[in-house]
Amino acid sequence: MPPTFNSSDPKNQVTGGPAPGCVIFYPECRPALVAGAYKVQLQQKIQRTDGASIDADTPAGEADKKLPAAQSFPFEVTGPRFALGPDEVHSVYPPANAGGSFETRLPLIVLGRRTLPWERTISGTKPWMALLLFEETEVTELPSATVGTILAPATKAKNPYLSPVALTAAEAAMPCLGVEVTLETFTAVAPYLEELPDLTHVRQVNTADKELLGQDEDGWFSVVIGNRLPRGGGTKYVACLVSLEGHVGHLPTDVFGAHNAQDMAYGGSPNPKTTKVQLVTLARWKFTCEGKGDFQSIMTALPGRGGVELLGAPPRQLSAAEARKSKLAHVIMSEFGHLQVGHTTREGETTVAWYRGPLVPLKVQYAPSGPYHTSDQARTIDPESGLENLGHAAAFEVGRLLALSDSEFALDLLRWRRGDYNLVHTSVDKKGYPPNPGSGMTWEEIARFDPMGPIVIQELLYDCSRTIVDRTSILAQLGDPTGLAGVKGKMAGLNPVSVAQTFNLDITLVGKLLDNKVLDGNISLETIGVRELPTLQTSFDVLVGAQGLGELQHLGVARVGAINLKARGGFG
Amino acid sequence: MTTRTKIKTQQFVTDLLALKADPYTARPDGPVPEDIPPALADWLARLRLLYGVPFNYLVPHESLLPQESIRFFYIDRAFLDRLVDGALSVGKTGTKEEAHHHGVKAALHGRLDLEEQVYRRRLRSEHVDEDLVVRGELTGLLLRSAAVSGWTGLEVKAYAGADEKSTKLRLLRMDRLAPDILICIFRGVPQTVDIEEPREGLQFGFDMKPGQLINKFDQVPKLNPPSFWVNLRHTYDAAAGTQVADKAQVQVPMRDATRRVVDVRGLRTAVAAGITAHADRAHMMKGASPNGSELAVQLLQFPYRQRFNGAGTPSSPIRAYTIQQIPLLQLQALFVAK
Repeated sequence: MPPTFNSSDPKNQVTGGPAPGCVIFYPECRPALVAGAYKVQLQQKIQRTDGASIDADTPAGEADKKLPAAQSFPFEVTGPRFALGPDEVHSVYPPANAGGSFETRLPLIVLGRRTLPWERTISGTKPWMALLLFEETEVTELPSATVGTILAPATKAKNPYLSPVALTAAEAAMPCLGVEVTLETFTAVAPYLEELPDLTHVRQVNTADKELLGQDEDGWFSVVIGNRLPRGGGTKYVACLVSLEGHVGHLPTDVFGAHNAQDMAYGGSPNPKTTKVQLVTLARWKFTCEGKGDFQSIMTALPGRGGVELLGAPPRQLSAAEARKSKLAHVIMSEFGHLQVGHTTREGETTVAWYRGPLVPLKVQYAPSGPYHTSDQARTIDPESGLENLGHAAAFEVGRLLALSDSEFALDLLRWRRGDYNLVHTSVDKKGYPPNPGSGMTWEEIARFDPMGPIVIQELLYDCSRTIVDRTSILAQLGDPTGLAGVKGKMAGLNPVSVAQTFNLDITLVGKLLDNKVLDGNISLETIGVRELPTLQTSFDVLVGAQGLGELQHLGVARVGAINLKARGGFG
Repeated sequence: MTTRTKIKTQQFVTDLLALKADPYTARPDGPVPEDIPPALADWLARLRLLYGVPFNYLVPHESLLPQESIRFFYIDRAFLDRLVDGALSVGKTGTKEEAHHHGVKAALHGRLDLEEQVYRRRLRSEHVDEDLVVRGELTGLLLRSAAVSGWTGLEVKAYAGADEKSTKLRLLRMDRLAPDILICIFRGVPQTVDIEEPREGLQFGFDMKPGQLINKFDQVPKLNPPSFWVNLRHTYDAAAGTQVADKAQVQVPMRDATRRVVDVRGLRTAVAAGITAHADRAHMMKGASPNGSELAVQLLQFPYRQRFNGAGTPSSPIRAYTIQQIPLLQLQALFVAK
């Protein structure tokens, strides 16, 4: 049985998080193990209770019973290194490709995993990533870069400072985002090594009022902040979350901004303005610092731009100029939010009809109606305009198409119906259940009403030809081949003749066969109930004779020839 | 319908209703009546919340939702009923299925009335309580704005009354239908709707004092780089998040004033010095110097909250919403520092 989700189980409840509207800050959140190669070593040792050690390797006289030798199990802890999956980044600020006045705000990136910045460490225990902000003119993007081309020795001439980090061949071939900046820019913009812990922290928030985004329902996020403020006036910026692995030596450590020369492992006398640093970029986005475009100004501008209204409400009184500009002028709307749309009728006539979706500008009186079985039942006519209102009919079709497109749902639906049918058939009490007053039949009888088909009759006759002892009981079933004998009195208006025809039975012959009243014309044989059986035995013996079987063929039973042969074999 | 099928249909409906209403009319040894399968109820509840309904059926003309606009709406429950009818019409080939639909309609709708209210909570793996009102008015909003595409994780809250002290309406659905279009569905008619900047994206920043013109004798006037300041705030007491009483400020040291690179280490020293020198320092740090998160709190810029107030009382239909600005969040205990 698959595990089921029990929402009342305390384990499944989100507890201990911040209250709605609150956020909790933590300076860091380190994983139990940072990425890297590890091994578990296993060794047995035996000690006496008094603490004296036993030389377990060579017990006296039992050299073959040594303790197992020490064993080690290597394993590796991995994590993102040269690229981040798209789901790792929760959000960025300033928003990607946005323009706005971000002059007083430090850029930041919110990551969905709280331990990510500490899963690798540089220079001891410092986080391995930093958010660098470059003006667009300061930075060169490296198209089609791979980890190898950024870190490989081949690029050393251009980027002599990079001390390659240890990586496998597969990692080297991995495509990644890369940027190149001059050493001067990098040194000026990159945070000091000591600043890295201050620029990274963890937050826990309450996610009750947010859209659901996948893995962040626990409300934990890690945040990396930049250390540079953007400058206004339309300056374009590129914010890069970079990996600092292998760059420790390049990071400025001097508080006055000049990088510490002995940390840099370059030879000769490089010119910081022409020497480049290449960086592996984990995430990158652009924005422009200009005018007013922060959250506040966007929200407060709503009334003047698209407006704050009810959906589909008749537009407020527009000025002449506004009306010329407004697209609403070309749309005909009713005061209740109906929209006039083109409509091609089944006859092919092109006309217009009203449509209103589920979202309406006013409270609609709701009276449960239906269920409807076809969309046509939901078509209405607007008495004022004389046009059809197709909104609800469209809803029916949308629901139907959505259901049809989900085979799982359709199967569930069929299974559910079948389960309910079986339930009704099996659980209605035979005696106690009130019969339908109109018919005089119990529901059970109706449910059981299942006329024998020709094949069943054929099988019964065949069984009769094989046995003599039990023939009566078998033939008793033939007494009611259509199943109507039991219920005929209760079913008003039933025409037995047409029932017999439906089952391909010749009433006259059935009567003859069962040696009951032979029918003439359309007069019914006990209205095809065919119940009495006292003389059946004899008539059957006659029947299985050559003459009888000849007549049986007219009974309309399929493949009666086969029975003929068997009968002859049985009775000689 | 022929007489026979009519009888059959009627009886079937009676039977089903009787069984659904009271399982004890079934024979003791008979099967226990099946409830609506959870997967079906779930699927139909999603449909009721308009999941999967094509956007042009929700907003039939683009002019109804122009760029940079917000539109509030009621939901037409009859439309939702037709959606469900349509979904249940699959495989409906005869009167037997129709009879079944008649039989289960009341039970199904009762169940969906509950399901639609707990669907989101279930998605969030939250405890689902039982004190649910049977059927509520459904309302909602559509926001089409750069604020939706730019600020992942916007927070939307709806209240029945004039402010956040009144009853909060349950959020039944909140999804982005397009990168810049957000739909929210509430139970009940809101009088107040707040849209807030996401808290995990709380930004860090400073207050700016504009640069001064210097070097007046040059032909081209130069602007002295603006100066940036940090307003000290309480971190640990009941007033956490609010500015200290004397409005003490610390100037932000810059490593490179032209490039506007902040000297984070210097800032830390400066803020630490500012805090240590301040009378309320016990409310701002726990250790001898502020750690990363204590520093972070000092640099926080509060999330902006946009409030939309409905004109009219909740009992009378709301015809339009007005916009109301709340420049700064003044939530008490915004921070619970640990």
